[in-house]
Amino acid sequence: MYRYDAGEQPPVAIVPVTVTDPITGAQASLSGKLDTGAAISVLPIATVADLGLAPQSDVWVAGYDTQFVQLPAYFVALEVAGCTIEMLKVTASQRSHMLLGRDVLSRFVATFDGKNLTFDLVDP
Amino acid sequence: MSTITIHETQTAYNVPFNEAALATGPVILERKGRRVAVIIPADEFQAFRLWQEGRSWPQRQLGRLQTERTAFRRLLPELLKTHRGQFVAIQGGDVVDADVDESALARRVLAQGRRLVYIQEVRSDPRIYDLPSPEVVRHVPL
Repeated sequence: MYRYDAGEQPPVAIVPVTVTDPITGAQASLSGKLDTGAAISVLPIATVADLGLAPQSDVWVAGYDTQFVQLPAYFVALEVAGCTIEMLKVTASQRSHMLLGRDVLSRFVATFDGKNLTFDLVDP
Repeated sequence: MSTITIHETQTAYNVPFNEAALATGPVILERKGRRVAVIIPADEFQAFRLWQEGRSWPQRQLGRLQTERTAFRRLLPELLKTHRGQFVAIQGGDVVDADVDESALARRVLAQGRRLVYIQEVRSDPRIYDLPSPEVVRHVPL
């Protein structure tokens, strides 16, 4: 069971994640914000720089304003909620948290109790 | 926002600047009726630099893939006949591996230490990912 981070308003569902460069083994620990609206997960640019990740693909993304933009994509390993995803394609943008999109969340059973500011993320 | 008129002196410009003026917004420096500079708080300048850096960063990263992306586009018409719906790995201008499973393909090519590789899905129109969650970030180190 996780608690919402009330440091943001409205409070936000955040879990600790570990990102690993599959080539070098370099790791970074950061916070992952659960985002069912995102079709792909997003790393902060700072994490890409810290890990020295090299782009190995690109993706077109449509933002809230429906404008398309092409972004670099990276392949990483991800540990979240006790589950390891060996290879995940992610993109990156300038942000403080990682966004955990549906590409990650669809691997879990997610239960949100907004009234009590708790949620759970379980790998069935 | 306020405006300060600066006067040329023998040695340098004389700017009668009071830091408290920044509390009301940027301070514009004018010389002979022409705007020559704007003073903003240092942390706002830093945030602007980071924003500027963040805007150019994707293009710089995509530039690192340029050779292989160009090769993919060149090969795409033929790949649509032979690998439609699959993912291909391009290196040195050629397809070095392919798979229907993108993660499996990435695992294989990265396990071989192929860092400078371009992995893309073979389809006539690029896939569009919804990413409706913007974030206004200030003072985030790159």
